[in-house]
Amino acid sequence: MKKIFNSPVVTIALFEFRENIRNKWLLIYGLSFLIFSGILTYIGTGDPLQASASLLNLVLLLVPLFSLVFGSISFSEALPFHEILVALPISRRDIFLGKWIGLGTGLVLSFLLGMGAGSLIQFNIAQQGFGSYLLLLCLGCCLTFIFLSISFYVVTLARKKELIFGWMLLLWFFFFVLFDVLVFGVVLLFGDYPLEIPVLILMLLNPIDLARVMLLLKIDLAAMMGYSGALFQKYLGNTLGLFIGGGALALWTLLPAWLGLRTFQKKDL
Amino acid sequence: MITIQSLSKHYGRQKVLDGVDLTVSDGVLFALLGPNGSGKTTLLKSLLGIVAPDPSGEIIFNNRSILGKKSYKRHVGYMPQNPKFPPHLKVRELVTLFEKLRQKKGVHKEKLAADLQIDRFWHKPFGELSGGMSQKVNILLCFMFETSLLILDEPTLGLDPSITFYLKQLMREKKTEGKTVLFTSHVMAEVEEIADRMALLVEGKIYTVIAPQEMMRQRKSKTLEEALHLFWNKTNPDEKNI
Repeated sequence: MKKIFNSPVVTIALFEFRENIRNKWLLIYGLSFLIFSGILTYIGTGDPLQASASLLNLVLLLVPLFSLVFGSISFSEALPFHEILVALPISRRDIFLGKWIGLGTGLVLSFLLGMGAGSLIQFNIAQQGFGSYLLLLCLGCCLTFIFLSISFYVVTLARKKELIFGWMLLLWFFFFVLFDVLVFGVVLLFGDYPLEIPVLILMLLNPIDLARVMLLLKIDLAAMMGYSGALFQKYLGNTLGLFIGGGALALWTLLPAWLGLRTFQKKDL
Repeated sequence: MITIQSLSKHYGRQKVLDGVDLTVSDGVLFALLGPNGSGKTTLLKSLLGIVAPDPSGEIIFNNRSILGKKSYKRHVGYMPQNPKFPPHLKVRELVTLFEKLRQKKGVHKEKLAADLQIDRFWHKPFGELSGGMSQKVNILLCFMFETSLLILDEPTLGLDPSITFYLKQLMREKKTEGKTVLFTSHVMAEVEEIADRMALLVEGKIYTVIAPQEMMRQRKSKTLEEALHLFWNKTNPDEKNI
């Protein structure tokens, strides 16, 4: 156990975590969840089910945006320091994973504390629908790591640091707005063909859509899911849908992180 | 001993190192000289695995190939040019982090911290330190461990005369202990004063490896600066090879 705690990955992760909890932006992030979730829950009926549905859009909007922007700024600004760390007898994998785990944990903690202090304290844990609220928190944590992985990967690929912020906003816009428009366009264009399976596959390509559908499946609000969500429920049902969605989210977390690690291992600092 | 064989490095189409061959013996103060953009920092970074040289070359340290490896870095101390430490990080925390990552105590930590008067800002974050103070911490991090090779990139840049004097003394001490100090510098008086040997790197190629005093004797110059001036002003590049 002592060996694990003394490993370079854990040492860097703890260092990174401490560094980030001092960061005022992380405090602002947590406070924004505290305020918005507190207000949304307070003006609602206090029903966790209804609160989860209301808070869903807040989570889908803020978590990917902040994880992309904060993750990319933090990682790109740390590159000169990573240069010094690379000169130590530790591997680049240790540095990358330590940074990823430490930063991700800081973001997740800030999100959970903000949401918890804002809305969780207003619920009765025994109330029906509390599971949906917990799923929303889990999805928020997953989205944090997914978009952090994407931001790290883009930073490792980027040659011009000043363009990274723009790329992050573009990616967020793509996943949050443009992707749905594209899916809708595909459905309109090829409406005469059987599109169920292609649309289901398309939906797996957007973690924000996936998270939305997974929560709404749990809440059983098919009417709010739109075309792709309704298909998801029809073909995969609730349990299988949650299982496949969970697997896809895990893949979304690991694949960009792995690609980022591969690029970082070869990157000239 | 470090042996560099046919080391090249391209950034895209730009060739930064062009088949560098160089041997640095143990227990010497070795200066790497050259104009800005000649590839000095890239060569040092290649030794440390910070940049990946083209696969055709080879770097051998203590009779072992080190490209793509990390264990040899236990024996290497590095002092980068203009280090950028995280602004919220306190000096004390960074020193502890380095000790944890190297998994050994900085045996010279207390003495260096006292000599460099780092104890005065030991608990301050880097965001509140001046450039000179950060450079003192840079010296501490490089010299506090027992390493057989020290790589210093423009070590005296931004230091006041007193600390420059101290650093040069420290470099000489390491040499006396049998350690190798490889450094870059633009201050010729400094190289003339402390270096045993120097290599001239121009456009990624090593032109000559020579002792500074020998270069001055050959050019009949009183200073290394003058000798190098005469060397660069030869019109035929082939004549530069001594």
